[in-house]
Amino acid sequence: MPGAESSDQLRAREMSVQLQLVEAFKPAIDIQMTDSDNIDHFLEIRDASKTFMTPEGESFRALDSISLPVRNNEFVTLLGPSGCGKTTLLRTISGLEELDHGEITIDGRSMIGIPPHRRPVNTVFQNYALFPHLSVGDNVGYSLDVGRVARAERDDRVGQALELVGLEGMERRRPRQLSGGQQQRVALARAIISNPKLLLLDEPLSALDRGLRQAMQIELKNIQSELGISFVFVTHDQEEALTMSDRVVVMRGGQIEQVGTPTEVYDHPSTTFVAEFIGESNIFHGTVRRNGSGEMEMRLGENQVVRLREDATHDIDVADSSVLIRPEHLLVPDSGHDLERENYGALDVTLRQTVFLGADFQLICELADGTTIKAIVRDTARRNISSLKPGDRVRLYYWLDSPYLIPGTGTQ
Amino acid sequence: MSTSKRTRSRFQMTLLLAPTSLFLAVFFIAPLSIMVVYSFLEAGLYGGVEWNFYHHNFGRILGWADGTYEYFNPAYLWIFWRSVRMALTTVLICLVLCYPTAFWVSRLPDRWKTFFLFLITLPFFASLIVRLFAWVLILRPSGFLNTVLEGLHLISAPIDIMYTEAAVIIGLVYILVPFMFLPIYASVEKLNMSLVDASGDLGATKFQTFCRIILPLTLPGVIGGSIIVFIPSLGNFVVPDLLGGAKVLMIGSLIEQQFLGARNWPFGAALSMMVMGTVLVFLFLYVRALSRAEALEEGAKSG
Repeated sequence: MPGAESSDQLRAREMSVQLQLVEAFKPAIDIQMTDSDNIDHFLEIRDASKTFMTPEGESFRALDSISLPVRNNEFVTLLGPSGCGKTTLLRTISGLEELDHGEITIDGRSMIGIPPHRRPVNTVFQNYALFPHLSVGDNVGYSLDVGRVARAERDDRVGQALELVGLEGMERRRPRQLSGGQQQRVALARAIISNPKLLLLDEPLSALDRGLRQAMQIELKNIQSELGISFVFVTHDQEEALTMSDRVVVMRGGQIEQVGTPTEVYDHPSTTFVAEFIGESNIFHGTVRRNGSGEMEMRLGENQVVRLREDATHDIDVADSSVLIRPEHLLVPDSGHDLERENYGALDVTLRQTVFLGADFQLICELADGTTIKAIVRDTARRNISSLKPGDRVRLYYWLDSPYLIPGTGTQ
Repeated sequence: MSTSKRTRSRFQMTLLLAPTSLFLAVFFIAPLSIMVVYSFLEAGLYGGVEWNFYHHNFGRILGWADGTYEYFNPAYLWIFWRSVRMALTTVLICLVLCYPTAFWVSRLPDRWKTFFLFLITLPFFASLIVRLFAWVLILRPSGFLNTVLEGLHLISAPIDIMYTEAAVIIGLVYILVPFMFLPIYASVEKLNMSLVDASGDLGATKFQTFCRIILPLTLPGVIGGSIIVFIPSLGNFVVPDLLGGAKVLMIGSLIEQQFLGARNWPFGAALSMMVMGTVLVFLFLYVRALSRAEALEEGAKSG
């Protein structure tokens, strides 16, 4: 029903007004400051390992010596392809899975042997996991009901939690009468009503359509910073991770590839995997040499060179170094203009296809050796790009600071 | 939808339902009506019926009789009560056996699930009588069970299970357990395990999760299974005949005796009506509970 979705989005925008309500849900962390004020990391994962047995009898290493500290009031995203162990890591934090090895501490307390219902952590599940036989109010009030909170206080807090997520007065509805976005809000209200100190979110937005998802991203981020609690958010969507996180943890094969702020992992990926997983990328493989004029270069084939600024830490003259140039760093100047050689490098390519993206054009090009190069260029005046046709020879420029030599490649 | 299309689809529905409706009319409604009518007729002297309205068939069971040919005998009510009690015991035992098993099976890898479901249906491949006689061989004083127990020195003298209520209940549980298992399994298999995770995550203990989430969501299977075990065990006469003998008379055997032995069809029909009435009371309670739950949901929908 399109009407319901758009009203959802409208609600999402109204949300910021209601954020003062959030005060009611701030956890009582301050009280415990005496024993936790010297603990900077609210959640600490040390050397966590977990192995599963598949039904076929093979063992599968879901977590391989993961260590990760999470600070108070931090929004951390676990990002990776399916099967990278991000959901398993989340489940070991909530206690739904036990670690084989290693330790998790929350607020300075070791969680070894502590069952899920006694951990100060709540989860928003992937498909919300709302109880279908209970009303919205009973779903939201569930943790208070099992904790035997007095009826009047319980009703009060359910009302407040629903108001916080913009669903006031919906207590008596059933979950399946709600739209996807509304169900998502119920799941969020249910998870924060008992004032957890840490909220875990397992791909909570993956079932929503694009517009609603973007509205919810901002809303979630607002709620997190207002509540002042840590969020650990699992997603396979790199855009989601970059939008919301204070820090992104890129995972692969049960291990952490890189931890950093969104700009760090985007601009300075530590491995080719991270470079390819986050954002669009052109990655060149080859041998990096110094060219004697304070620059380094990678020879790609006949007369094609990727030039880059001197990087003293990187080994030279070894094979299989990787250089990353993001598509948006490639430029196409107006025809007849060349950019000066001191500051710009160039690649000569053949245009294969032009894709209009709205704000930008994506050019899919080919080097002489057949390597595909993607460029994202802006041509608001509709001058240089619009006139290009498949098969044209194009010179793509890049600022010499743009190419990024991925560390750890080329060392053997 | 246009009117003609709607008429057409209604016609198609009627056509599709016709064979079943016809079958039920001929083979269910008609015999049932005969039984209802017979239960109010007088038994003929040499079998058959006299076409007089005669309510003393029910009187013999429930407490009034004409006092000349028919006498009220509380034994009938007692047999009736025993049958209900044994049927309920059977339901309870089946439930205790099947509920945990259903959870166990639902967590098996897929191919083992299929195999296990095949095992559940395996007994249907052999004749019921043969299987019950096998139980006679197991339960009788010199049978398998006593031989094993004596061999293990757990008992000094054979225990006499044959021709007791226990033997009948064992037999009833044995033949009816698949009918309990399948509906429960269906609802357990449908249970979304992430709801159980969510409940624990929200602070519920395992016991609370069971009471508040698992049980309510699997209740339809439990109730469905209970009904389709209760009905055949209440009216069963094969099991009590073979394993209960003359000592454990159940209502089903009594009816059988009235029809085939005493040739008193009206009295047999009256007893059958009593069984059916009991079942209907239980069904009524079930439907009312169900519709109340649905009404609750309807109310929530409009509210």
